[in-house]
Amino acid sequence: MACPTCSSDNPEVASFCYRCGTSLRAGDANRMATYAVQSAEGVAQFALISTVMPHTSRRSADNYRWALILSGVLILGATALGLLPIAIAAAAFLVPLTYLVYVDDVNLWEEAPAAVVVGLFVATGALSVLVSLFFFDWVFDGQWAQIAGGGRARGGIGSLSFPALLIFAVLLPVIAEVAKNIFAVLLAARPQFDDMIDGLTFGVAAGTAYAAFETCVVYAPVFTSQTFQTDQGISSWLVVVLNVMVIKSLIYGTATGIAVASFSGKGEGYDGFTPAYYANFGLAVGANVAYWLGVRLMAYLPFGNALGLIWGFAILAALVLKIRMMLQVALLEAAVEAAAKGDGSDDKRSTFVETFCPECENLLLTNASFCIVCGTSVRSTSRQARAAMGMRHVPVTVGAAPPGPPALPPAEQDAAPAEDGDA
Amino acid sequence: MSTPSTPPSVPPSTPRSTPPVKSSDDYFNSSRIKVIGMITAATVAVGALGGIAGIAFDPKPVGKDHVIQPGSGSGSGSGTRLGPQSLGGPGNSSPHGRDARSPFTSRVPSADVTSSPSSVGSVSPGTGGLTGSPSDSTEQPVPTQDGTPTNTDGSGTTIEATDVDIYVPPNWHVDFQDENRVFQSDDTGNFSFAFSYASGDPSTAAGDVITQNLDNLLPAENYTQLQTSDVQTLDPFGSVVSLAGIEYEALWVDNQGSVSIHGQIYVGVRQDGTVLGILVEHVPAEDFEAAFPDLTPILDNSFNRFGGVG
Repeated sequence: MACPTCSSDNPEVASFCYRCGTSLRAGDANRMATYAVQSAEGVAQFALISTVMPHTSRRSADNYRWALILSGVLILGATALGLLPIAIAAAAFLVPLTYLVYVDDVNLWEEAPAAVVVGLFVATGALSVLVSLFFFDWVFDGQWAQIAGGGRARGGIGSLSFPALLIFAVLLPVIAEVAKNIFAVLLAARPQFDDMIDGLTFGVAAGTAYAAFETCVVYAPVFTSQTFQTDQGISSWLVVVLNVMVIKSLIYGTATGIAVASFSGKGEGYDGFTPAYYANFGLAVGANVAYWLGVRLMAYLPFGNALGLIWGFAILAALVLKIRMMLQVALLEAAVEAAAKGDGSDDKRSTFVETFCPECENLLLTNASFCIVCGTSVRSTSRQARAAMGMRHVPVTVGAAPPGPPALPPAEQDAAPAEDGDA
Repeated sequence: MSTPSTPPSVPPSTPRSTPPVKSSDDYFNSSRIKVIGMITAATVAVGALGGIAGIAFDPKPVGKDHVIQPGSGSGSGSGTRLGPQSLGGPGNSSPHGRDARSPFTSRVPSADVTSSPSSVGSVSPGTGGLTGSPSDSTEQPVPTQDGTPTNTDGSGTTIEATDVDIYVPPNWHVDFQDENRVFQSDDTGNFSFAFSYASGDPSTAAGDVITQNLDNLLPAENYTQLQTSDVQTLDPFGSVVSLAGIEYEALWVDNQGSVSIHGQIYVGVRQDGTVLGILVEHVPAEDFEAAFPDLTPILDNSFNRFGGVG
């Protein structure tokens, strides 16, 4: 059967084109029902794990889901017991730590583990500490006190300090977004990390690391309080810990992920500082500004902390959907373009040997960019999977092979395709 | 998901090689147990570090002898400091662990829940201006460029419902005001909140007003880890027939951060039944002693005026 989009020949049983991912089923031409990163999910579905950890499979995503649930329960338990220093520290670092494990699990750092760990987590964290101290302690401490200890409960929104609102809900998110982007963009510019999914991953990692270290600074009084354990305001602290642990961390991460993913671009190499990058950087800033403006203004309402949490969840949901739409379009468009060109530019991102689909475990054809059964993109597979698929064995000269009959891999690599480098 | 469990029967090309992995599990470095174990262990480890930090980093406890006797008549902000009072938690007991709690309740129980301190009435006009060299004028603070009233020489503002004047020190500005309340600050972490109403009952105990309003003045949603001293009965003076004060420390929190706060609340009841309450507080708590001289003029001048001795 010929694909209506790229004209590639597909098996009669194929549900998706193996070259461009087009749905060959009737009535699903735009593939909204099947997310190219994880085919068990729809595109417009609020699924956190597969969105921020696109290299996971359906099965491995469950590992992270259970780990986050277990750790989250422990953290909320510590909060309920009033052990605030323990709860705040663990909540701040839960998502970044999970991300470090994920990066190792999918071997994202390839030959540059130090650059990924130090550059992203440590350097971004150090920037976060500096920016947070600058705003909350060194320069604008008086304005922060206006927001924090002010007459909110007594004067209502009438006592709101407009300059303080601008500083902490507008200026700070702008500066913070620049800080989050710096090291993620530097990594995304490296040749081995030029895929959009890599850019997204580095952006999420940088954003969550920034959030963790900022949390340590702004909640420092928890660690220096005379009281180690409390039984007061537990409901407030549960809301705050939930916000720190999930909402704030993931808003920072997904917003920066969107910006850095557009820096990487959908095709070969990275796109760089294009208008698309600036537009998505603006989107990231806008999301953060909207989040903090909402949090600050809702704080004047009854149950303000809880309302702020709900508001943050709405922002996060929008960012998650944006990422999924962006990746879906990028994966499909890039595959169509590569198939249409026929210049072999997609060889780096298609299978070189037959192997298993990480998602449905059916056979992936040679020279395939998508599983013909479930439609999952091979670009969203882990680095080990790519090595097993022979992607990194493709000689430069083979790149010119036209689509259709797949090229033969070197015989000696068939025996041990996973022995390459750090796979 | 509609994914057949069998591979396609007619692939577009003949398989060239044996699949190099047995299942998709080989595509990841870590097993399920390892992933869950590493993340959980790392979370527990970081939480333990936070706990160690919580034990290791304790600032010097703030003193508990700041409650003054407003209305000394000096009007200079040098009210008589009373003897040390117990403030729950810091300084009174071991600062850590479950036994760190003060013998005093963290939320002072209401002494008389049947009386409502929130009724608003009218009282006779005051008898004079604010005292103290910088505050002999009752002129309103001059609005600043951003609309926030501020002043450079000290001034006063009047709570309309009771015609009670509240002193606004130099470089402070009124952030919010309505017919019963005045909120002012100085951009260096000092805040003051004053409220006044006519209770109609001069026998109202000032201490009861404090206990009944504590949850409103220090809402539990934001003022956590609240530790309070005993309500101290102070000496009445002038037309003030009942006067009381309380000192507190708390950890203020919301979704953007937290700060430590140390403050005091004073309430006076006049012989005509008018109630005046003034709350002063400073952020962060550990700097309260240094900031206290900036706060006492508000108490002294306002209560002097309230008691008719200014």
